[in-house]
Amino acid sequence: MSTIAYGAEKVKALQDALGGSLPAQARKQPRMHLDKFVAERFEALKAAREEAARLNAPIRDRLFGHILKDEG
Amino acid sequence: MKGSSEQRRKVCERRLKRKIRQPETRRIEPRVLTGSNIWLKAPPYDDEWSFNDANGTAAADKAAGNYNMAVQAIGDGFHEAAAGLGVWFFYTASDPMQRVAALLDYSDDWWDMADLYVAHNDLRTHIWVGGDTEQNWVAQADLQPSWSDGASWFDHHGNDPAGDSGWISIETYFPAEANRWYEAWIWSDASVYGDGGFGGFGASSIHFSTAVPLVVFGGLT
Repeated sequence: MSTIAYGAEKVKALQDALGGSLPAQARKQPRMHLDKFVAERFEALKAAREEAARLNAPIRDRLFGHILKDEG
Repeated sequence: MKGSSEQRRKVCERRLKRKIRQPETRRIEPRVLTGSNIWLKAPPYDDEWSFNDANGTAAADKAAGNYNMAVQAIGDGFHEAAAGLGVWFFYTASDPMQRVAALLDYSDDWWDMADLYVAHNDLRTHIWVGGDTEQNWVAQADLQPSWSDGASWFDHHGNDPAGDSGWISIETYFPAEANRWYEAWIWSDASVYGDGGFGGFGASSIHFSTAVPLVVFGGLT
């Protein structure tokens, strides 16, 4: 195994020599995909948690009712 | 946690200000090695990205090679923060099992607690690889550090007050085609949830910070 490029500038120069410059739009695409994924999952998880809370509420209210009666 | 509901809420708010160790990026020189065709990338990286709602902070620094996030819920629902670093790479040869690995120096502090209500606490760390020609993700690996926890009634979970820190190497594989650009994203997302109402609340908090001193494209064999 031998080193054919060493240092940030030389490694970048070698990569650019092989692949050419990446179009500016290409550089934006993965960030846009991450934004979309996280935003959609944020809404889905938020909705799921709120739905679970809605389903739990009647059970918790019944239990509160028992606790308050016991304390009284 | 003792005291009135209001006292416990103030304790939770104060805990958000707790500082965690900020990992320092070690200086490593990028290099290309023949033999196993290894490309070792080090900061400055190519991209940085972050996401957070009003209850969180997130930041990534591609020059320093680190990212961090903090997010907290105290009886006010679901909140999330995420951040990561992107590294481009050009492949000259097809490989159905191309390896990409990253070294992380991380530090975290998390907890969730519940007074009659419910709390959740989740963190995921990923290596995702996007293909420029494919215009899609070609790998989506969920790796460590990661956790998922829930608390209800009078539970209190977490790794506070000491927190956790350490070094970890993470990796995944993806199908690479010759003469195409790919970008590996090393990123983490933290989500917390705590509901509340009459007589109590759930609370949840995450601090996460990591440095990524190197990313390697290529196998070791």
